[in-house]
Amino acid sequence: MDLLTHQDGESVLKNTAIKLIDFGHSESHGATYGGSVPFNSPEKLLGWSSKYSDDMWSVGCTLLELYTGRTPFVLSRKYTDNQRDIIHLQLMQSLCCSRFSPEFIHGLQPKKRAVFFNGSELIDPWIPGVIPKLPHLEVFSSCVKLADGRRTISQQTL
Amino acid sequence: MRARFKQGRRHCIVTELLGSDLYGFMRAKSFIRFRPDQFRSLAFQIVSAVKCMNDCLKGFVTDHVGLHEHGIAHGDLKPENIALLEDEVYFAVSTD
Repeated sequence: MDLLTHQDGESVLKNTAIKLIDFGHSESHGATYGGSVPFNSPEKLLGWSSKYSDDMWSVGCTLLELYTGRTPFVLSRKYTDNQRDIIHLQLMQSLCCSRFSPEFIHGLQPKKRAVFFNGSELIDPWIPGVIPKLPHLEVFSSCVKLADGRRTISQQTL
Repeated sequence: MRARFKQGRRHCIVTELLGSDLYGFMRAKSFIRFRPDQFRSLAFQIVSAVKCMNDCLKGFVTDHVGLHEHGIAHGDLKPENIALLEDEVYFAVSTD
């Protein structure tokens, strides 16, 4: 990726010190559905409880946005909520180049489960074309994983 | 974090006046991509902050009912919720 051509000579950001804010959705394990949908992990999308692994997914999406300048997983309003969830889950599979475990699919609502059991038939044919390829950086692939137990990121990676 | 207090069931945090958030910053720059060194610095800090939130704060929430085993999850991490500071490196954390 060409990150340098956008520079206008001066530093775009002099100090990169940051703070996490807005803990309105934070809870110890067991939080209800909330947060911002494009950044939600697969489990959170289904309304399962909020955990550290969900934060790791969101970190991956956040880094993806910082790296590409685009918010990942933004879906058109023309879809129903149910359709959006399904497309979102399918995009997650494509982005991660892997498939959800049978256990995860089993936990889906019957209506959504059917889509995943009926093969990989996509709702909308444009989807494969717009899937951004996950940049070949270890930092993304280590925290954007479908299986929540495997999401991790070490400071050494960075 | 300068101070924290409880108002009813809400936990409130006082921080120093913060700058713009990362999303606002990016939008102001027409969604410019960060320079590799800045991206690395931001990524490192975000990961450190989230790790710290989970690892170091297990004792922080012991006054809560049954909420201390696993640390806390932020629940809504995104560029809008990452504020830029002027000079100092701090990570504000709270629970609800």
